[in-house]
Amino acid sequence: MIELKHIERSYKTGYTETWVLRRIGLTIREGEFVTVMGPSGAGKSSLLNILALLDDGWKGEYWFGETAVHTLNRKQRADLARQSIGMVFQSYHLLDDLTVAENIDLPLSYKNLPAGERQGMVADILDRFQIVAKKDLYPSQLSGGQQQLVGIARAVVHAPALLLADEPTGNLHSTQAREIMQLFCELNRQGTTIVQVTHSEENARYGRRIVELRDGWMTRDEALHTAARGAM
Amino acid sequence: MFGNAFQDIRYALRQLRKSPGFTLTAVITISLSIGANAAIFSMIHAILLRQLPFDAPSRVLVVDSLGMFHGFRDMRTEVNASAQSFSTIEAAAMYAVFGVNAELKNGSAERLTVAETGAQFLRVLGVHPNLGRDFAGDEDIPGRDRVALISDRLWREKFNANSDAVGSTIRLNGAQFVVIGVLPPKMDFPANTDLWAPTIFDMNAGLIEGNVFMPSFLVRMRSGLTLDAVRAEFAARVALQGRPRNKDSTWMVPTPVADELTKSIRNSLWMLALAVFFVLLIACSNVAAFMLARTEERRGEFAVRAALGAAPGRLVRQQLTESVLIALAGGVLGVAVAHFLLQLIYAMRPAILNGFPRPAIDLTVLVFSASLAVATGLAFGIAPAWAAGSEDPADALRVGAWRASPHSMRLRTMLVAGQMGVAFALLVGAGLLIRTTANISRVPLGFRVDHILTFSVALHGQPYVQENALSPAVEEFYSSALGRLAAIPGVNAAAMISTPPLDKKADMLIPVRDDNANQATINAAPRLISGGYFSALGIRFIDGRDFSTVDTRASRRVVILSQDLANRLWPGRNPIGQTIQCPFIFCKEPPVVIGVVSPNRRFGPRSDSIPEFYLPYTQMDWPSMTFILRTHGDPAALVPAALSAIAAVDPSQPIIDIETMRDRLNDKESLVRLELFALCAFAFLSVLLVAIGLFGVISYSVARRTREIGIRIAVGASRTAVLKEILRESAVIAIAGAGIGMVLSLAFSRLLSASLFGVTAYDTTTLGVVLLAFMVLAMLASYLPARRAASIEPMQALRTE
Repeated sequence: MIELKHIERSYKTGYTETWVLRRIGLTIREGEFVTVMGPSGAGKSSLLNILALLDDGWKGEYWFGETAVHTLNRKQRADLARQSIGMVFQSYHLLDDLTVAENIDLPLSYKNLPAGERQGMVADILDRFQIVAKKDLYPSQLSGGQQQLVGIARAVVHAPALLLADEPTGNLHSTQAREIMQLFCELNRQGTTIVQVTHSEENARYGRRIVELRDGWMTRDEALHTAARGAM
Repeated sequence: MFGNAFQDIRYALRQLRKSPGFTLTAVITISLSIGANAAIFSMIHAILLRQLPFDAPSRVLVVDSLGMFHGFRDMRTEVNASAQSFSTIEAAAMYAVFGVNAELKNGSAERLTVAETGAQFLRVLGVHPNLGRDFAGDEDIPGRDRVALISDRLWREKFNANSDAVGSTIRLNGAQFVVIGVLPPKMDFPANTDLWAPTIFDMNAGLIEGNVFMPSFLVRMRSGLTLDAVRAEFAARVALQGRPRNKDSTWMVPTPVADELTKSIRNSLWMLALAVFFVLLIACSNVAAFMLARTEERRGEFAVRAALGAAPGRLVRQQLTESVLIALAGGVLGVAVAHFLLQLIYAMRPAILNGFPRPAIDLTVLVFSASLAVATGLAFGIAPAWAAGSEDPADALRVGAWRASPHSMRLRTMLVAGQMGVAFALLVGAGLLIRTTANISRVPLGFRVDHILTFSVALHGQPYVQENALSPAVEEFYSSALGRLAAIPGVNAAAMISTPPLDKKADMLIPVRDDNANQATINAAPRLISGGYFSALGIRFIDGRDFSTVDTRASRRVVILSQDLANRLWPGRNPIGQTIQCPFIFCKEPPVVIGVVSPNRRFGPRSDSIPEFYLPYTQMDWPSMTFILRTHGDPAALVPAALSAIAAVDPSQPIIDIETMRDRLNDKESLVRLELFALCAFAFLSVLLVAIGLFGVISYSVARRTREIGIRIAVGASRTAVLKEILRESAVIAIAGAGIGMVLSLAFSRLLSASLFGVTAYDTTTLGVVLLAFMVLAMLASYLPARRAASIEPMQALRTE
């Protein structure tokens, strides 16, 4: 589904150039659940932002299916991301002035879908995530876990082919974190390709493959044995 | 208490020094608006609010007649009897104003303004001379009336403020007058008068010019009565005389002298006062919006202060100190702005202001400016101060510095929408005046205005006036002068007329009829002219011929009519060869019609033409004529040569009223031009402030919404969608502002109604154009912040969170 070849990313500050990703080569098949790990500053979030098509400053080849992302312009990349990618953030990044239902509807509102169809899709997701009762509440009225749930619902409402999660349980306590990871497993079972960035070994066990980064280099890329994965 | 106040002032100054850009912008904004307000206030104070220097001025009324008039035989007795017949007035005086040729004791000759009055004049006004004495009760009897009171200005300029001015003599139009007193400095009624002489009843005094006598009356109301009571008595007198009066008639309607003096300009000044007040409102809300943003940024500081024990009132006072300091600085600069604005207004030489005292930045204006500055500071400071004082420290310290309150944002948005509404109203006013000016310029006057120089000569003394009658020397003077003027290089045509178009003096209408028919008369204005007058002014000849050298005193009396008069006297018939009849000296022998010319708008573009008949100066003497010189270049360049030409004929006759025909037209429209200049300046300033305000509030909104916009882009919003969203936000504010503006402009434009021409106060075209311009302005002002929003990198935005 995704193929990265010689991906590099650097930031110029004055006369110095700081490399955050060095010659990254990665292939992610459809339906995989990949975990990207590494110490702080390893380049995990940078890699995720590139995969999410939020970052344009990289070099190399990025294939998304049959599409050569590296040849697309900014608008074309944004269109591709809108259609095919969902993102879950560590800080949830819900809009405070929108209700739960409105937050979930947000990505749909940018896809020129009829209002009736959008309402149906939002209702489905609310039901699927069992948060129908909370649809008219505001983020400030929800707990951290509930907010992250809404964040995930927003990320998957348009049925993206790829779900990216940046430290999805970083601000949650363990019980909430477990629930979120189980949700990810369920989504993966239903066919969504998932790439998560995490520091947590426990969260990593929910995935099937670990990619490790250090100082911008990919140092490890191995499948996880089934026994090492957490209970679903 | 004072220690805290000094601390607040010190701290406020430090805060303002830390933000020089904001401080400078705020001070300049406030100074421009306070300056404009102070300038207009000084005009209102000098013109509308001034206390007339009379005793109980509200009891002094002006009226056009006392209801008598059986002839000039014994006018004094008639006026006095008529005044006594009214129970509601205690005294009355007649007066009229003329220009005179004066010779002062030092031998200098010049042109002065004299008010011919009755002896009761000063008693009616309640004014007493500072030096010398008032007129005695019988000094308005012809033969005893060769006395004069002089103005304080004339006394200082020509008599060196010397007390021996009293008892000195001056010659007015050749007649000797004795100065009996000097009036107080503030006595300037009628405006710009140099002397007052009790010769109003003396037809042989020789002070009347052009044989046109149109006096007015001053009456003093009895104490304890109301204006309505006086008016009721005058209305009853009109009814008694059987003269029907329609409801809009001002005939014999006494008016307080203050109202009468200011009626031409009152509405305009109040309209300008409202306009500058609008500008001040805009400036206040502009600065308030920026101060609100500063308060937002300092929420953390206020939270810490509150947490350390500062009471809300203390925080409010601290913020108000800052705003009042800005306003006071703006007020000080504003006085300089006011002075400059007044210089600018008077540099335009608006004729409409000529009859009023020139405003000055005096103590009253300074007190006004200071009070306005303090009020302004409180007005634009109260909202941010209240925001600072009502902050919940726990909330602010928990959330952090950059979580702006939606309430503050709403308040700023409302302020900008309000500003836009006020600016809209000013723009509509300016737009209406622009259309008025354009409409006026398109009205055909029927005579040339450009490249025409005019000046007048009023002949007095020997050899022109002999035994109270005009001598043939009058015709000789004018003929000789015309010849010399026509010979000046650059002069394409030279002519003259007794009352030129666009003249400031009142016109005289006399009844005219067909000499051979018993028909109703038509009121028409008589004009004495030279041959070539119509050609010089470009007035079209419709039929017949112009006056020529064959038209002398020895030949048949001739007349040329305006087409409207000819059509009314002989509808459907050829008027050439017909004769007319009219009273007084104009038709001693019924003149025959030799020509018809097109009518012209002699009173300016706003007035219709009036019936006129033209007589040749070679068949009738007239002591005061206006010369018309046409040139192809700048008419003002002809002035020195023209002065020399007249002086070559008779150097003792001063030339007066030198101006181009274009200046005459501009003077007629000087009020509209003043309003247009002021309103356009205020509208421009308002639009500038509003654009800055809108730019600021949209920029602030974008900055506040960086995280939100980043999220929207991250979840799929296109940059175009973001741009449109921000522009839509600006459009909503602009539409709200336009809605407020529409309502405001309905009220504001009504004040302009009297000045408008060819367009109504509720003109939809003007409203539509202003609305379109408004929306374009709103889009332009918010485009940069909108582009900034669309360029937000979601990664950066989310990382800052």
